[in-house]
Amino acid sequence: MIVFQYIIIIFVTFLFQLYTSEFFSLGTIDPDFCLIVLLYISIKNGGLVGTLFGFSIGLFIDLSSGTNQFFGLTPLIYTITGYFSAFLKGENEKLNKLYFTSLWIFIIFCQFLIFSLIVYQQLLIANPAQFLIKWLATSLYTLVFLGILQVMIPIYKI
Amino acid sequence: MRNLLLFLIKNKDHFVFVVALFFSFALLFNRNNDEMSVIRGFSSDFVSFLSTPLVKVKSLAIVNEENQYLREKNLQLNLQLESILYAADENKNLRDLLDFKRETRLKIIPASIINKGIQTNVKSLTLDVGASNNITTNQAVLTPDGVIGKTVQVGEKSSIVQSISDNNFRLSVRIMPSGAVGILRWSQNNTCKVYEVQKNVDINIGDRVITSGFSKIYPEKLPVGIVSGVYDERGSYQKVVNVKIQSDFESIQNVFIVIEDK
Repeated sequence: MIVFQYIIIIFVTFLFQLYTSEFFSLGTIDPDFCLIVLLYISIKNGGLVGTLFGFSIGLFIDLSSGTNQFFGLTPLIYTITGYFSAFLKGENEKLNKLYFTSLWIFIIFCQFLIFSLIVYQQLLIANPAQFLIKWLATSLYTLVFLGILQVMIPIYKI
Repeated sequence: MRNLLLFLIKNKDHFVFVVALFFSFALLFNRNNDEMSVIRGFSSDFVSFLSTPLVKVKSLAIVNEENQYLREKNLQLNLQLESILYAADENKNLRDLLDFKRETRLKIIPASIINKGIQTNVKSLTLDVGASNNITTNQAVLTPDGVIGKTVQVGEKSSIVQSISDNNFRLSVRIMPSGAVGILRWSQNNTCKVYEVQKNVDINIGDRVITSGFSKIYPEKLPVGIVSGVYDERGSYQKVVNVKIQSDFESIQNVFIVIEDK
């Protein structure tokens, strides 16, 4: 039953990403709603669920993308994000709010860094400044949505 | 074996992470595998099925936008067409005026009508030429199709013309080829009546009506109109002739003023 519940969450998240990413798209930068959901699920449910959820939704996204290039990259980075985010489970009671928030922001930056290093490796060689902008812009755009969500459902309190 | 199993259960988070990483790398390094392509083909079909409603909604939105754009474009083109047709008409009229000016023996000055009916007691037209253009009162005003009035008031840069449609306007005319003369006055709907025409003259529908030349204002042989009807006046020795004057009388924009007969 729990597995079925997570399958539904994966499916709904995927549909949301599919239908809305173009609407929220800023040029070539899209918000990553799957990552936002993954972060919440990992911090709330721990490493096993976070890792499996990350791998599953990543696999689902890569299967649906239809492109051959970097197939398997999304499950990889989502698995890493899910796994490391899960270390923050229960830490909200021990760490102060600022430190806790900085940690999940750091995880997101790291996730986008791995993604950018693989996808934009040519850009990194050709124009490092442009690469830096791309990485920061992609990360910050998703963080903007996460920031808005903090008003309604703060990660610190889940 | 049991200890290994307990170890794995105890560290299942890390174990699952390692397995997931392994599979992810395996996928990354085997992305060109044929079997993987088949699976991706199936999943692509599934996603395209899911995307269909969105594509339909988007296409509807595009159709609406396109429809709106085409409406605007249509309106713009209609307006352009109207202005082109107007320019073509104006061009034709101006060419006619130019031809008339070249061919006529009269000394004439071109003028544009800038207002109509400014005076309540007289059907009039206001022209954009006046005394500074050698215009005086009682000069004939005409178009290539015929006489339309005479100047009655002249200002420095404008003048007022008593229109042929004014009830008090009179014009001495000759009906050709019979040569019968009479006095023309406005009737209604671009039609004038010629009175005091001898009953015994032969007048037919379609005969040309021109100025007689008996007046000091209007030189002879200026076109006036075409005979559209003839009837005898009961109890009189005269007949009345209906004359159709130019059909676009109300839409005239450019006229000539006869300064003198050459």
